[in-house]
Amino acid sequence: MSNLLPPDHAVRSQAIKADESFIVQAPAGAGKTSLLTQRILNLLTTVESPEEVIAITFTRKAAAEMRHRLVESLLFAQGAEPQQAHEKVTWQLARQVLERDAEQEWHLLQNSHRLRITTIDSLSSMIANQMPVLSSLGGSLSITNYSQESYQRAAESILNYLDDEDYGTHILKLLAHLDNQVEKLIGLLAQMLGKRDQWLRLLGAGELDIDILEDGINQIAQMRLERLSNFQSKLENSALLSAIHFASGFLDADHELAPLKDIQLLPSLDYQNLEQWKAIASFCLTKSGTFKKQLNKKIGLVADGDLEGEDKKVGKALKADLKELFADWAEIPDFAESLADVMSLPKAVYSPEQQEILYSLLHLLRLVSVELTVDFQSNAEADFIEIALAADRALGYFDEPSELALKLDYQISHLLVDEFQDTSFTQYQLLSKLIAGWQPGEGRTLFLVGDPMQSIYRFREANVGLFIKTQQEGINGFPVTPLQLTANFRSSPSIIDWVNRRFDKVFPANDDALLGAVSYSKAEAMKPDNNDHFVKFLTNFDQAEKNEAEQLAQEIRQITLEHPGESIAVLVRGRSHAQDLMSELRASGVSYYAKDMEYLTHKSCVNDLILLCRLLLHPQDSLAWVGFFKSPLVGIELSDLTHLHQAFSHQFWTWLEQFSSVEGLSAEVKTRLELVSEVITPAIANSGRKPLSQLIESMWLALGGPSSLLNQSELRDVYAVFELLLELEQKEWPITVERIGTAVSELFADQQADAAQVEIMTMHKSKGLEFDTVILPSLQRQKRSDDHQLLLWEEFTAEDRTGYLLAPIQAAEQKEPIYQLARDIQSKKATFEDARLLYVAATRAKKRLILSCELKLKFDEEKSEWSYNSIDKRSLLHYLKPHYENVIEREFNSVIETLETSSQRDETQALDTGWYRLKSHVQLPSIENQLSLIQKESLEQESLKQEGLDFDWASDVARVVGLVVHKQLELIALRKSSFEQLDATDYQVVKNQLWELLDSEKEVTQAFVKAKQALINVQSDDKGQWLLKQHQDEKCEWELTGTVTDLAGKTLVRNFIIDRSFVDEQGTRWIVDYKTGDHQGSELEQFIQAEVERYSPQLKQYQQLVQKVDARPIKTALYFPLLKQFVEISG
Amino acid sequence: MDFSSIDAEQSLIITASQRQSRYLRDEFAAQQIAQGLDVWPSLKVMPWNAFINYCWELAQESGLDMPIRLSSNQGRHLWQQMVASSDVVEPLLNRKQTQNLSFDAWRVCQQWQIEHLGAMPGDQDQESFAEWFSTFTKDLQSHGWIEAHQQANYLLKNLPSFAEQLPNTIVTYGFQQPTPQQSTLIELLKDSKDVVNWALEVSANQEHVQLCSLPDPSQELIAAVRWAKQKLLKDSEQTIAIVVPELEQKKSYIERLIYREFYVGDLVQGKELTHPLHDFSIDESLLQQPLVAVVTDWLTLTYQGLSKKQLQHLLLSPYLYNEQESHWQATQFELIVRKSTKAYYSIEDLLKLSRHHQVKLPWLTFVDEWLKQNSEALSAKQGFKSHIAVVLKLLAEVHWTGYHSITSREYQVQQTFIEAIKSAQSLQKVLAGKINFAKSISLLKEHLEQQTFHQQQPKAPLQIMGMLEAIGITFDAVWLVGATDQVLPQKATPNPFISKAIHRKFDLPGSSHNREVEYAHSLLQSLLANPELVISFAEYDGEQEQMMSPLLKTLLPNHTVHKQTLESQLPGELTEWPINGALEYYGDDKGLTVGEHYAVKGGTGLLRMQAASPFDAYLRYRLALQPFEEDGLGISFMDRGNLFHKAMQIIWTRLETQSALLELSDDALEGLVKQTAQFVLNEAAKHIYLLQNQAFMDVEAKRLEALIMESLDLDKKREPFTVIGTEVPREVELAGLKFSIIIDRIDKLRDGRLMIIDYKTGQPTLMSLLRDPIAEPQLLLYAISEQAISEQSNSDSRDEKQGVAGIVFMQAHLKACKYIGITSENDMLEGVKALHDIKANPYSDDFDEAIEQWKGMLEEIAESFKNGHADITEYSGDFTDHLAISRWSERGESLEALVNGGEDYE
Ligand code: SF4
Repeated sequence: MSNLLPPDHAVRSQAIKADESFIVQAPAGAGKTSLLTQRILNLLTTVESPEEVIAITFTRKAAAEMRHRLVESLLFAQGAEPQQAHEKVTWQLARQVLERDAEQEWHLLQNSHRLRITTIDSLSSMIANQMPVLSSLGGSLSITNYSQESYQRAAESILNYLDDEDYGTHILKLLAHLDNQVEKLIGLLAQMLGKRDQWLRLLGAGELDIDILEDGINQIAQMRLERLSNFQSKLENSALLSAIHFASGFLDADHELAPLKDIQLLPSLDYQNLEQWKAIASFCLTKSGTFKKQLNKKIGLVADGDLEGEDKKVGKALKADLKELFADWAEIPDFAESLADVMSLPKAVYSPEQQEILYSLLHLLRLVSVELTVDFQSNAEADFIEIALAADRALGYFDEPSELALKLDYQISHLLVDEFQDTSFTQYQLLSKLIAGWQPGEGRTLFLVGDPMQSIYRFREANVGLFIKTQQEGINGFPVTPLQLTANFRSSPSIIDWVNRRFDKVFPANDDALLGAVSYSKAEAMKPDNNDHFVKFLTNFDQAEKNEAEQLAQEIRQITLEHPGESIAVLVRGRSHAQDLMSELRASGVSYYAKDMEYLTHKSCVNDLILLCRLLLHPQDSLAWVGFFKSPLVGIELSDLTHLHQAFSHQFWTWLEQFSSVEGLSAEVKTRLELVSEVITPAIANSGRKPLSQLIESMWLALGGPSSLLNQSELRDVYAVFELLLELEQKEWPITVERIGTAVSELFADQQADAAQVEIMTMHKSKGLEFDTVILPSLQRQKRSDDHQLLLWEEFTAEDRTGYLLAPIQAAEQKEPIYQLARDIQSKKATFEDARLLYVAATRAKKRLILSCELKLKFDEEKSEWSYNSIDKRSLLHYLKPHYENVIEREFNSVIETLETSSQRDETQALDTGWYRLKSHVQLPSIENQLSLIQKESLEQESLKQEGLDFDWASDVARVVGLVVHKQLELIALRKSSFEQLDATDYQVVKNQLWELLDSEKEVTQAFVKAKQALINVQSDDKGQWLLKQHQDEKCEWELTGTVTDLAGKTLVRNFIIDRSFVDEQGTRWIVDYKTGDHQGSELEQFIQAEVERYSPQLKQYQQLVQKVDARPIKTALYFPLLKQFVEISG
Repeated sequence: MDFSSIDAEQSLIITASQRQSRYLRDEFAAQQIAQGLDVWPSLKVMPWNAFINYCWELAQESGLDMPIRLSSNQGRHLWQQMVASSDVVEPLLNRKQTQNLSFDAWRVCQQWQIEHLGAMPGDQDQESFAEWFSTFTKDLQSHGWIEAHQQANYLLKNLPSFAEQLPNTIVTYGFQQPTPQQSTLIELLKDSKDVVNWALEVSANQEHVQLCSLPDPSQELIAAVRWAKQKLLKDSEQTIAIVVPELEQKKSYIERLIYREFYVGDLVQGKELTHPLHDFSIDESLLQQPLVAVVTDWLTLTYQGLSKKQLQHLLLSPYLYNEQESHWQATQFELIVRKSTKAYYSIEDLLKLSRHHQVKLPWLTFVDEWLKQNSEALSAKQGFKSHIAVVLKLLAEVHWTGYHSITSREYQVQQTFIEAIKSAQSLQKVLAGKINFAKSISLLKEHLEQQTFHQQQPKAPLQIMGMLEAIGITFDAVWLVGATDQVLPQKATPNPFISKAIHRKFDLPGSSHNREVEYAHSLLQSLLANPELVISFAEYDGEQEQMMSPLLKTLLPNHTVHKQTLESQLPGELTEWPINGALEYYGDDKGLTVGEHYAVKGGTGLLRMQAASPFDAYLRYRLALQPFEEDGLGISFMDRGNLFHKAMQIIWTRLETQSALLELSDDALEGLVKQTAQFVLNEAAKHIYLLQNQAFMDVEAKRLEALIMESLDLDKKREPFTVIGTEVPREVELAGLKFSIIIDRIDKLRDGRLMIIDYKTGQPTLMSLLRDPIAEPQLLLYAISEQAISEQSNSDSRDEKQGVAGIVFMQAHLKACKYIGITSENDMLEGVKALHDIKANPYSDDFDEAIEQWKGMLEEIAESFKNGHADITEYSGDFTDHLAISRWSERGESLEALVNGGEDYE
């Protein structure tokens, strides 16, 4: 890179000034990221803590990149100063940050969290999470993966309100409007919920004010009229006026052009004169919006033959003049369009019917949004919109930046927003709330950067009009200085020239915030040019042999040969647009990486897995069973399936169990079924009990799945599905087939990126990237038009007033002018954005840009001639058409010369109607554990015995009595307490303990009686007294640890607690366990006998242990305080 | 750890966590065994909470009159109930989280001994918390209770009552970041005790540490698991740990990796792992265990109905059925539930429905009978505990383990579940008064949500643990994954209920970034004490680029990051799997010939399908495959079609002739139409629920009336005709197969010929009669049938012509009402051309000949069906329900070459 200063050098230095606010337009390749980095660095040198600087990026990926970039520049600044001029600035700024870091002990390099680079969504949730009550979020909320389902449920809830006094009529009103199509209404409502951040704001104000809405239409009319001022001088042409005069004389009073009668002079461009202007426009234009070529009596220009005398002369001359005039005007760009826009304007009146619909609609929208909240509440999940709304709500509480600072821990001193052109209205509002109370010159700054020419996220509510508006008036009264970068560091002059020349024409001449129209601003190339840098336009026709895919594949191959190591990208508008090219590339041996381009559901091996899921999840799914039997994993032929079906109908379990009894099945089929039965039967037994993902994986392997693949690369696809199932099941259980289906349909084949020569991706995805060569194929393809919406709305500012346009959906088979106007605005927006998409795609190229299209040839039998499909307005080719029309025509002419004159072009696709399956005798590898589990058999013996479960809890009091008695006996033996003491305090300590351990008065009393009885028993029992009195080497609650050997011969460490142990006068060590069991009634003997049997193994173990530490003879015993029984066990 | 420096019987070791206690006990045991001992006095080692309770009991024993301790469950519950009932919480979206977060704030306030909250006036978050705080404190006091986190503070004030009873030597371990509560108490103990702090030793030499990076997180985990496998293959006695941040989310993936890498044999055979070599430090949620989930859904039935989802769950899950047959029936019954849009089922609904469909649901009958016998117990308000006892009784009596023998894991789940239910009873203490059964169950569920399950198993050599659990514990080798700058240090997240000022003043957890750095540091230090340590991070997570934790650079300044790549991400046995030649290619385009008794169901649909794609026809009509049905919410297009058909049948049966129609006055006509529409709609309302709503019905009626009117208007303009039949049933034989058809309408024209009319409320096309394969064969079949009949009947009146003069659809659509079809001559119907004038006519220009051709064509189709032809055609792709069976997505590839080519792709 050269050391020369770019032409916009001064702008760049200005843009990093830490005390000023800017909005910077940074076109493609302008080095926006370094500018942002530098500004952030510079800001950091001025703040108390780094958290005061917040930079907002469009994606999390971009946030991570920006953060890393900053960290890297800081690390870089630890080294020596670089030589390159453009690196110097960054280095120096970073250096200063390091100094500040040291001074303020920020430790930025240890903790990159301190750099607040975040997406607007994370910022929203950070804010909302910090204010659980204020934001009504209640704490952090996980984001639902299935917001559509929540919307749908909320929308469906309207059915519960059909009989509701308030809502019932509104629902039925709308249903009637939509031809009683319940599901359609619900679907449209659900769709609206996905945009509720926008209309909720409109509804927020309360009841509907039709005047304001009608005023909004007037404002739009006004704006459109004002655009005519560009052509005012033309319109004032006397020929037009006199023609109008002349014609109006022939019009009846109720003619649609009657308003022409009042025109003496050109009316002023004021919406009050709209009717006249509309008449003028209709006078000049055809229905399709072009200047008239035929003048007739429909507009008062009566045919010459019908005129007489003076009229005839005048009329003739006028018509001649007018024709000429219109012919001239047709050449003036935008003229006809501007007039047509006026012509199509509706009256600013909502009919009573429309008003009612609107009113009902708004009611219903409120209802479903409340229902949605309830839905979110019950699932403790929400969508991003809810979080944004919550943050918005929370921020609404703070008027002063200082209050917000207290709440958020740090004040926000500097806010930077990247990709500002893709900001939505909601995000814009959040920004304005964040800077509420900011005053210019107080040290807080705003820095908005982006490129309105690259705004391509309308489908995510990006509103480029906001960029234009902010350039003009700042945000929320806070002024920002507009700056414009022009240097392009990416592309070669060949590319830049082309882009400058073409897009100057493709883009509209003037900005328009309402329509999101952005004019073009030129770039200056900073890179040197080279001979092999070029822009190329290729025209192809859908000929079998010489089609586009093939041509491009060759072209690409050529480039890979000529420029090995250089990057090549194919950018398409829709995923499907690259399918043909991909297969051609495969055929010509060019490797490509097409991330997220190939749907996994297009692979049979993946569908086989889904079939397995289906039959496990629902054993009645006969389609799944048959699909499975026909899959290569099983491979049973139709005739055999029919035999089985005849025998057992759809009892598929029986198929597997009893197939051998079915007549007509061959031995081979039986072998196949045997294996299948072996695998499937246990899997089905486990379905609903074990994770589905695990069952599927084991079934697939056991059936020989890997051998059944046509291509080993599909293994990755199969495992991608396993992993997806795992993930889904973790989130939700039990899982449904529908859920699996949707999730799989969003999976793409994974590919090896490393070695690929070509990258294929969508144009949207390419934003922010660059490639040496860029290929834009299939530019003739169109995208589908926007769906209908329940409500269309526009929000705009005109003359400092906010205007609204609200249009409820039109009834089936009807055209509502206001709705049409709103549709028109939307489609204009879409058109402007398409042009920008083409710009984004084209500017990814550094050295070479290839544009290409494939047009469809048609043969007209009657005329016996060839033609090609016209270029659709919704295609990107449409924008290049003016420049390349001739090229296309020329190519077409040369192509048709080679063509036969016949329309019969057979395009039968080759279809392989055969089947494949695992060979029946195929030896599947036997799969063994990699790690053999330790001593299997012995472990199995030890495996847990399943005893009867204990559903009874009456024993709880008994257990607590045991605890308390043990405790007291210990204390007494340790002489920390005594029976006398207990007696004196009426066993209060015991009672207290019981209160902690038990929950009700009743239980406490019950337990107390027992515990007290037990203690009194001991006190009055000689054996008891003997146990507790002082002995030699005595222990209470004696804790020992020791090794024991388990059944498998493994050494285990175990802990033991011995209730009481001591050495008696005879030198015998006693080991005694207290048992507080009670027994009423007879058969006391048997009870004790049973207890002894139960506990002697344990005592035996104690004995063995103690023996190791005490060589004295040992005796063991059980003591039953409640029964006053002492039983010696050793013998 | 040098245990010889202390006298085990005279010392007490306090650790920061339970895990550390266990670790020290194990270490101690290992040393004792190494010294040749079999038995030794147990080491007194306990985590902090146990220590506090130990002290508490000592103080109690000393006779101090102390408050009653609430268990942590009880305290938490009391707090949550209070918060939940607070007005400000009512509208919040995530109330659970509010309860938890605020309780956490309470805990922090106790541990940091914060008494003055200093809420910012007007700040609803902080004010709410301050209020809860004081309410809670008062509530506890009034009952004489103490919450678990308060205990230590209480003890601090009563040190003399227990301190003396403590052993003389006290060792602390693992308190890297003690709370003020902890440090004050430990500090105070130093006055009278010998307090020692133990820590892990970190060797100065850092050669035992390796840094590496892998391309993405899943490869990182695979690498770690394979590393562990290699170690275990060498020596299965050693202890190994894989430390995973955010283990919760990755657990099931890691577990699957371990299955694939360790026990693939068992995985394939679907075997139960009872003694795995690995163990996770975190537990599973108890409620999410299938066995438990089913039962909890089922319990709902005891006091309220089931949601559709719950019901489906009960029907599909194998538990709760004692034999396969009844489960099979239940799954069949599920299809009925699935189809319906009914969202909620009461027990009565279920009884009725199951009776109607004759399905036995053991769990339903059980509940029903049980409810009848115990209705009083259930409706009465009682103590929580007695309700719980009822639940246990229910569980004891219902059969809920399915018809398969349960595994040891399932048994353990069951056991844990019952114990968890029993443990719920402790909540009784903090519940005020009596409650009803439903409320008890919901409390029980809340309680159960907190409960976890961990399968019992012997100590496993490989531990997979979260970062926190790894502190203060060592292994023979450890791998830490995910060491990125986002995780080490973590982001500071202050508790929103405590003001930032307090956070800073007390240096609370999450209060500052520096605190997080310190914390991360001590964590890494602790890891460094392991004799072998690998630390890794993933370069990318999805599209997002990641950086290594900057702390590692500081801690290990001389280490370089080693870039690792895996040879394959696929499990090992797949890379060795023999792949070639296992497949064979075969044709299967013909099934069995139709048997003698085959009865055609579904009429002409069969012909249409057979014409387009014989394979799909075979699936549908021979193997009787059909997708699951699902009802629509409102009135469907099909319903509307039926309504129109019925209405027209009524009207034309009544009118019979066009002249009758023409003679009707406008009023009379309107009356007839209205009445008819009303009649058919009323009939339909019996099964279309929305039609029971009058206003909805009105809209639908208007719609229907308009359609009828338009259709009649159309017929008014025709040449005179007589309707000789509506909904005429016929039987036609083709290739020996009998097809039952119903002809919507047959008009007799003035000249005696017949016009056959098929109503369509959609938008039919002429092409559907002309194209090959034939898309709408029914009209052709009608023509064949009527032609034959009229030929047979050989009319007696001579001036009447014979035969069929046209076949038409009547499109009855809001867009337009018109006839579309074919007639024998032009202008018989407006807009309908004669066969010979249709450009794309593939048939003979002569109508009668054409009918003969149709007959031949349809015979052929029927013949092919009869013979079992089942080829896949280019139209097979139209049958979306069958695409997975016909393997449509790969039909464009040359399968034969792929299978037989034997080339090794890739
Ligand atoms: S593709 Fe463009 S917009 Fe998307 S993350 Fe990358 S740079 Fe940002």
